[in-house]
Amino acid sequence: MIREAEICRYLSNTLKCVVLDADYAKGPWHQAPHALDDVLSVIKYTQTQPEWLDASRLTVGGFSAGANLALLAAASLPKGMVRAVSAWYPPVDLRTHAREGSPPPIPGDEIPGDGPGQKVSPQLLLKFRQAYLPVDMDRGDPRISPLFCEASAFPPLILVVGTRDALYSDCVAFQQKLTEAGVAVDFMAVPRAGHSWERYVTKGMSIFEQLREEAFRRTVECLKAAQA
Amino acid sequence: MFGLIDYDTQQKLGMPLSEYIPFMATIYGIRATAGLAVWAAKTRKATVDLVPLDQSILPDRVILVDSNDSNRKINVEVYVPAGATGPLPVHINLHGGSFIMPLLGV
Repeated sequence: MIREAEICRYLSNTLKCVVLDADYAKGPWHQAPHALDDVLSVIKYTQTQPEWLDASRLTVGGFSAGANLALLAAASLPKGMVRAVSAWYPPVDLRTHAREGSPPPIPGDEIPGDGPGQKVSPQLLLKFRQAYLPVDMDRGDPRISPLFCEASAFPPLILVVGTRDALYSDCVAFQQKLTEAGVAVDFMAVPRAGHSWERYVTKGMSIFEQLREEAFRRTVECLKAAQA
Repeated sequence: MFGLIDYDTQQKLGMPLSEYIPFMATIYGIRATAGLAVWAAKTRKATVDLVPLDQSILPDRVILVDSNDSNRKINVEVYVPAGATGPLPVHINLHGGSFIMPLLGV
C-alpha cells in the first residue's frame, strides 16, 4: 500500500519543492475549527522562513479530511496566498454524508464489480463527525464545509474522486459550483473507485494503475503550474 | 485528557455517560488501529511506483510549529529535494483520517 510519506517524497522530487507533511489537531479532544487553525499556523510559519522557504510559491493539498482542510485554508486566506490546491476525495458538505440522487454514470462505470477503495459505513461516519464537530456549530459553516465557502475565493485546483466513493455526489456539486464561479478546476472522476482508492491499487490492476498514474500526473501539473 | 471518562470531553460531545462510554471506546479502538498502521508503515519499504527504490521515503527532519490558537505544538515532517539550494517553493500536505485518526505519514 502506498504510504503518505512516499507521496510526499514523490511530490518533493517531481516539483523540486519542500514538502511539509503537517499534522493537525484531532477530535474529540480538539474539535473544529482547531484543525483548520493548525493548517493556518503552518502556512503562517512558511512566511517566517525566507532562508529556505519561498512562501510566495505555496500550494496546499491533502487526502480526505486533509483535502477538506486544504480547501478551507485556501478559501479563508486572501486570494493568491495559496496558489493551488490538490484535493483527493474531500468531504465538502459536512451536513450530510451524501446528497440525494446520484450523478450520471461516466465511461468505465459500466464494467461490473467495484474498483479499489474503502466503503465507509454511514453509522461510523456519523460517529466521526460527532467527534469532530462541536454540538453547537453550524455544519454549513465555511470553516468546516468548503461547499459553503465563497466559490470565487478558491485558487486553481485539482479534484480527484472515485464514482463509488460516498462523497462523489458532493464533490460533483462542489466542482459545478466552482466551475460556474470561473475557478479553474481539473476534475478527475475515477470510474468504480471507492474512498482512498489509490492506496488499494495493487500490481496487476492495470486500469487502476494507469488511472493512479494519471491522477498523480495531473496533480503534479496543477501544482507545478502554480508554483512556477 | 486521555482518560476514558473525561468530564470536559463528555461535556463537549453533549452525551450522557451511557452514550459517551461506548462512543469513546469506538474512538480509542480506531485510534489504536491507526497506531498499528503507523507502526507497520515504518517497517515497510517504498513501492516502485513513485520513488526510486534506493531513495529513503522517510522525512529529512521533523520540526515543531507553534499553534496560533493554543500552546500546542504541531508536528511537521519535512521533505527537501536532493541537491536543491536557495528558498524553494512549498507544498503543504495534509493526511486523511476522518478528522480523528493520527495518521501522519501513513
